[in-house]
Amino acid sequence: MYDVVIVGGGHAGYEAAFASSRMGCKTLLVSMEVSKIGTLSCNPAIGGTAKGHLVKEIDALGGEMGFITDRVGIQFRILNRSRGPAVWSPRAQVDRAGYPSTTQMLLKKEKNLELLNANIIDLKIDHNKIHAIVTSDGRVISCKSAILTCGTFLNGIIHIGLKNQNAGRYGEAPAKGITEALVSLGFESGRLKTGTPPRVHKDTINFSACEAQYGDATPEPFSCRTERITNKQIPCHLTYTNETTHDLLKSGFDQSPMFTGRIKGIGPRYCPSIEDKINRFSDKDRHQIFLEPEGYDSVEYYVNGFSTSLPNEIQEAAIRTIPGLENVKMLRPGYAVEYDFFPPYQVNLNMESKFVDGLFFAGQINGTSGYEEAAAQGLMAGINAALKVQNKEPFILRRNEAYIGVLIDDLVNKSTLEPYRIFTSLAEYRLLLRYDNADLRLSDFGRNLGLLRDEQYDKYMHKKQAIKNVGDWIQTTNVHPASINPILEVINSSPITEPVSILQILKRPEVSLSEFVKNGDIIPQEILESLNYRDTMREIDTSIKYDGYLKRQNEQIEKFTRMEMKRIPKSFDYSTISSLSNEAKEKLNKVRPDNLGQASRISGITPADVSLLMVYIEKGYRGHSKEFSDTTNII
Amino acid sequence: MFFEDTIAAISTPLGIGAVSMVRISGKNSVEIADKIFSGRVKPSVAESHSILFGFLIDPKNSEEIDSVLLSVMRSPRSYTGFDSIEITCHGGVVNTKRVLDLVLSQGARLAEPGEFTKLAYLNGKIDLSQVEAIADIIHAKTEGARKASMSQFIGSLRNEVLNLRNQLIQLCSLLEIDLDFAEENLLIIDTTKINDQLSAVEKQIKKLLSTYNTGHIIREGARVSILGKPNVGKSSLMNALLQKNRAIVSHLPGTTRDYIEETIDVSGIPFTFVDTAGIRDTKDDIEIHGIHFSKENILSSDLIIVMFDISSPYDADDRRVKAVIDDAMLQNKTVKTIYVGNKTDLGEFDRFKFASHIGSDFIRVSAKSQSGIDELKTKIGVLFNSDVSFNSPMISRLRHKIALEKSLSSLEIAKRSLADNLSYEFVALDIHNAIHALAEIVGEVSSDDVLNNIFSSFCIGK
Repeated sequence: MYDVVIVGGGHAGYEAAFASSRMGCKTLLVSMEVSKIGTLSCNPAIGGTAKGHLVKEIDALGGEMGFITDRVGIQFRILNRSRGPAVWSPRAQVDRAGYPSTTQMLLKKEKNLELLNANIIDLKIDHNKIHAIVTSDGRVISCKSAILTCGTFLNGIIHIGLKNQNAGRYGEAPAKGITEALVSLGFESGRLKTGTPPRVHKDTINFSACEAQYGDATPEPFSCRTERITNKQIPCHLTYTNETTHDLLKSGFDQSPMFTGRIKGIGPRYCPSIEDKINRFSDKDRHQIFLEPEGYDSVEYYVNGFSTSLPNEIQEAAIRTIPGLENVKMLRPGYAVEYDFFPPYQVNLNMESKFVDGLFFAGQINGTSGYEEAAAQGLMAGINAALKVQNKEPFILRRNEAYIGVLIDDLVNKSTLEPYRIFTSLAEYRLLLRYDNADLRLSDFGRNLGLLRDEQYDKYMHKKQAIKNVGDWIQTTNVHPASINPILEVINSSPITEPVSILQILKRPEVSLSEFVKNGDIIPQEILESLNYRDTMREIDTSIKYDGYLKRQNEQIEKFTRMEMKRIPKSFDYSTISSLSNEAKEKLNKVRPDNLGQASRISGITPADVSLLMVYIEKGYRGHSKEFSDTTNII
Repeated sequence: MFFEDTIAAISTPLGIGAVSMVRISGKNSVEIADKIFSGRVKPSVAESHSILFGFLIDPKNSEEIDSVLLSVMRSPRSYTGFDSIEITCHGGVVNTKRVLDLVLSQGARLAEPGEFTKLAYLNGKIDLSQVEAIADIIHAKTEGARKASMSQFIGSLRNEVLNLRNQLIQLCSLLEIDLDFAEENLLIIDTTKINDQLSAVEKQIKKLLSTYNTGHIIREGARVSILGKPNVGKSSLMNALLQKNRAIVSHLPGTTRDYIEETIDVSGIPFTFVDTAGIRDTKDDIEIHGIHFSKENILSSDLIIVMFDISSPYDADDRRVKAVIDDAMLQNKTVKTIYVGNKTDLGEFDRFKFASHIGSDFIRVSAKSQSGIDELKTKIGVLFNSDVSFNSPMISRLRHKIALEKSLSSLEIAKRSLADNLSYEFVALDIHNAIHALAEIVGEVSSDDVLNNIFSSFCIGK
């Protein structure tokens, strides 16, 4: 009997496995091919706008994605540097072969974890509770809880032109049986589509016709456990499509599985195929193509921006019209993949399904796209499955605490019909959710869950102390005109006439702590040490520079929290509120929000519906109506 | 259960009248009507929106209570969204209460003030700004106020606010695209354009804010102070304007020591006229107190009618009055003034000299013989009506004003962030705050405090 079994070894699967086994649960990770665990099905990169935040948060909670990336990264870059610190996001190109092998090596070190090569075709569910999973060769594996992380494998079909085949990934068989088992229990399933571009041979690319894009001079690691990145950095390359490319692609539209209606699944709007882009943005005469190396030793290049499911010949002809790719050899065509997912209103905020006790869903099965989104859910599902087995309260992150919270809250409440991707604009409180303060926000949670090792926790405590030291020093130390004016003069800041606190000086937009560091003699040695500890300086600078904005953001959070505090009883029966529209009743009964704030975020729920609920629930709480308190279990 | 209740109330004012109306709403309305109504058609089988004639019978003792007209309105096509019954019975306090008691005895609960409207709101039939409009329609003192409230009820304010909000949401999404897709070079944002669009929204908000004075005046009425030296005829003018003897008039200067107020309708706006103590140099304590009041009154006025006695020379008291006015104008910049030369019946001293003394043209009246009063009323109406269009969106409540000011100040910060070249997430933060503030007006964001506040302004029965 296992405490937790995980079905699927993608990014959700391995994070779930690390979490539950480290929390002391006897864990089994089942994969159709154990040697493929941790495979990057799409591009060889981790992170990116908002996704980088997720990776940092996973790391702060004790997950592995960031740590693995640091080991196998071949180019590190902070995106959005020209924007404000809240929307900076780390991204890394990684070695495609190295990522899964490192992941598997780490998994094999876990004491409570077993890996199993098997194909799961059925689930044993009794009295709405999971009891076991069943393999294709008839083995029944008992478990207290199970996490489904099947990715694009559930009834996967790959399309290239008008040809298609059953597959979860190129050359890999799909998973059959699980969807049918769940649907027969009353789960609702849907169909989504995603795609991937062709891979081309490195030696056939004319790089001199492309624009090189290098990583940061000082690569910043994802994980707090990584001191510094020493891997050699290699560049990516930029090029563009043109009218000829577009014309060629258009000539194949009659053989497009998308446009001919063969693909029924809904694809992501923000990561469209090249044919979709040409179709929808017909006024643009070129689209950006990003050539990503697949590793130090790999001859493959990934043609980011050229995702397509047109026939082989069309892909090849069109790609050769792109500067730098005129003579390119295509190693593998792009394709579209259709797969089953389960609209995520069917899970609770702890990732556990609403109908089956102990059954958790994480990753693309919940309708998301992206490695990072999958890993974040896997981590949370792993944590919550373990907590469930241990009879502990679920662990839920709120929208103001983490991007992970935003992601899961959106999934449960919005249940979008297209693949969900995280964005900074989805995080209302993003000014406070920076990637570089993920450790400050989440380390205590990770520690309390038993996931953060001493080494990482100590670093966090050290950073916290360093920030406090510097903060105190800034507030309590006055500088004299004689010592500070020369520094101010250099940066064209007006001189002071009387001693003022360092805080006052730092409030000037043109002054930052680095000016003080450059002139180290006014900083005591121990403060200088604190300042140089990890990103202490940035934390302090940011909190002073954007003080007003952060205050207003905190005010917003206060309002938000007030609504989150208004709990809706678990057993609340929405159908008894006759004045709610049928649509609202149905949605509320489906999602079963935890509180009024969550209710207000359910798509299709109007402000009037929320007011109605508010009055109704308040009345109940205050005991104005006897009948109400008699029939429901509100305290 | 709160929303399971069927509520009832008398919806017409209590008093002697030909007919009164008792309204019932809630899921048992029709059932209750069936129990007490005897006519050719039973309410439960009547079509929605039909009117039945019959008798009300008390089921307890079969006593006939009244002959009535009973209207049936079925859910959701009713004011509250629930099944509703309206019983038009004979008027009079005793009879109407008897009908209500009968309804209550059959299972309805007496409605709380504003509860019918609250149900309509909670059923999504109307939004908050419309709820307020209904309260205003009920309380409207004049035709102008009614028209303005009706326009708000139909949704002119709501539409304007939603329009402003949509403009800001559009703007924000542009900024968001830039932040989230920066690496993909999808579009280049023109900061000047963003700034211009923010300014355009600001301008529209300011325009809406500027209707507050007028909107407020239409709703609450305008305060008019009549000011002048003692015995210049202020009380006589007030009586002439009100067409009745409200103020005590005598030929003795200083007769009015306290102030007296009365409201009349001039061109659709309720004007509250305040007769004040005359301003002069005096040692009488009570009179000094009165003069002090006069000065204070000026500061809270929307209009000051400044009176001079045109039949006698411009004197030191007149100068004192003029000084008080000039001072008041400096302190209350929105106050309007009309100068009036009274006592034309006694002959005019020197019209042009007067005009040059007071630095303004004036209206010649005789409060005593009522001449020039209509001209004065017309002038008052024009002063307040020139910028009034009862059909365009207008705000009349402090709540709206505060929300608009909040959104305006958020937009100002957003523009400053833009000017300071801050990244767009900072700009977006304050635009979001502005959007939030606007949403408060139509109730997209509401707390129970706001709700309770608004509904408490209703009388029972609506």
